[in-house]
Amino acid sequence: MIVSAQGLTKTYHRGKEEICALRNVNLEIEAGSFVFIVGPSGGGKSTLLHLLGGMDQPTSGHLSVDGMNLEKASEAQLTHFRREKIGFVFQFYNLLASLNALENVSLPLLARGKKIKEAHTLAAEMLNFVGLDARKKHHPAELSGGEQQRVAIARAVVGRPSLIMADEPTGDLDAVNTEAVMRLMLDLNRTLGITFVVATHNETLTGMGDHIFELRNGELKRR
Amino acid sequence: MFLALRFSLIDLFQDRGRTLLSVIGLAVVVFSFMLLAALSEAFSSYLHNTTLSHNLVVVRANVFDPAEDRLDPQVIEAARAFGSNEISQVAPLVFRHTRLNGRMVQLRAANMDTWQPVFHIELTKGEWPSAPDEILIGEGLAQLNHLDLASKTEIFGREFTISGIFRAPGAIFASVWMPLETAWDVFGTERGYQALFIQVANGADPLSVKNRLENDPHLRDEYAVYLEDNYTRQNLDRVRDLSDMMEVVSLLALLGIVFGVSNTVTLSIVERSHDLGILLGIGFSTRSLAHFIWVRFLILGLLAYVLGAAFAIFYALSQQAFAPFYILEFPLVLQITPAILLTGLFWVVILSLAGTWLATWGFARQRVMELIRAI
Repeated sequence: MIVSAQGLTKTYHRGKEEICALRNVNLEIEAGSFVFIVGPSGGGKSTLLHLLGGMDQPTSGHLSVDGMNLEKASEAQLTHFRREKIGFVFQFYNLLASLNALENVSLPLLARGKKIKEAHTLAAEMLNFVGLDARKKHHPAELSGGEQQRVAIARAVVGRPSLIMADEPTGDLDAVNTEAVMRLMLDLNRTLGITFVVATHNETLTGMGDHIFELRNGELKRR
Repeated sequence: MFLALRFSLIDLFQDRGRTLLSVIGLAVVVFSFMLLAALSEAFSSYLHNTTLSHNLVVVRANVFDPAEDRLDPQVIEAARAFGSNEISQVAPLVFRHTRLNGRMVQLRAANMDTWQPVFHIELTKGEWPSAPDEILIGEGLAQLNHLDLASKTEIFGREFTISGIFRAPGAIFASVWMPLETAWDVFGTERGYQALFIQVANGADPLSVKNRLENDPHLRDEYAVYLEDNYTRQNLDRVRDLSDMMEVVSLLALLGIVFGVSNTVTLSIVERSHDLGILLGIGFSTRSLAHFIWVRFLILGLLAYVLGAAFAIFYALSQQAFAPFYILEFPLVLQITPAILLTGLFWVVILSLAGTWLATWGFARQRVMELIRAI
């Protein structure tokens, strides 16, 4: 199992109010699978992805991702984990506006200590793979929503992580681009064997996945 | 390092409007520091070049302006009656106020034999007066009035030629000097002398000679005896205080860099929280991002340093050429010396890093998701 979670709970404090985003979540995901997590907005999907991606830590419970216990990891260990094991795709792409597509895709490689020239070569190959070879010198503002998301996917994949988390990756796209982005992620899953965990509230997409989980009011159920 | 430099330059260029404003803001601080430091050095140079004498000065007590007085000849005789082990020379002085190119200056006349030994007048240019229409002027006065050797000037309705330019300690520096014979010729002998300068003999205690003179029957209650350098000493003390204050203010100006950089960095971090969160999410460490922020603001600090230093040098040169400063006609030369430039560079680097550290300290404690959520 690439992901193993038992009794995962996450609570936030907003002033004196305690908000329980995840309640006693148990989850197991096989390596190389394509998993959907569905549910309404505010149900806890993003929180679960952030925990799986090492961007946040659980309040209680056990969480192991690709052999690493995340609930006890230090900040330095989490940084190393994110750098080596995880790729993230966000709803609003989250590309750096000051860098062009090639430079954005190079970032995970530069974080790993690769030389700029080598990082750019690998990033160019990845952009070619996602069909954006001709747009690599363009800045995010010069790209369409679909193109920006493909750059974001290329950035998530370029470091060959074990697991890619995609949080509403098609939430800001039209039907044509939604289809293209989903096909691209499935293609990467099949060809590179990377595990994908995709959070979405768009139920029509879930037919493409291997497993579907539903997260509602912080409680996870398998469909 | 190269990566941080590359990202910093891209970021600074993308945000060039803000970069320019930040650089100008910090450059003003650098400019202020350099001018204050230069002024402080100019004061130090003034203090260093001012020599003090052990002369005593006798003037009538309770007279507002000695130029309006007439010294009793018995006072001069009383001083001459002292032994050579106490007083080595007695120099009565004719003292007037006059205008030179519209500026009020002191005019002094004394026996020329006393000019060097008693008044420490050193000729820096030209010759001692040898004709009845020749005078000397102090070098500060010459500079201030744009006068040089052979320049003509009118004093009390008569035309004089400047035969020499001199340097001397204290307020003498700012005066016009003429031989005693010339003074008698211009002013007449009726009003005699206005002050008496007494050179205390080597080894004698000026204060005890002063005491004895004050108690002499010819002087007691009528005349006051001062140490000649008393005024100069007070003046030097004030300049010294001012110089110390300049040093403190210049250091405070530098502290402005810490807070200036810290505020700018904090603002930049807040504005870039989202981007920094993404970079952390991708796998950059807090340390490497802090490194990037440090390099970015070091570049800002160095740009500000270059701009501030260039303006300070330009200002100092312009000021020297068009509107020089004077203290008692002593020219204060503002110079941005290599020592000031190096000190400025050292502190700009150190304080830019300190300001950045202050701002990044809080950033390092934020969680990735808090940063990504910030838009």
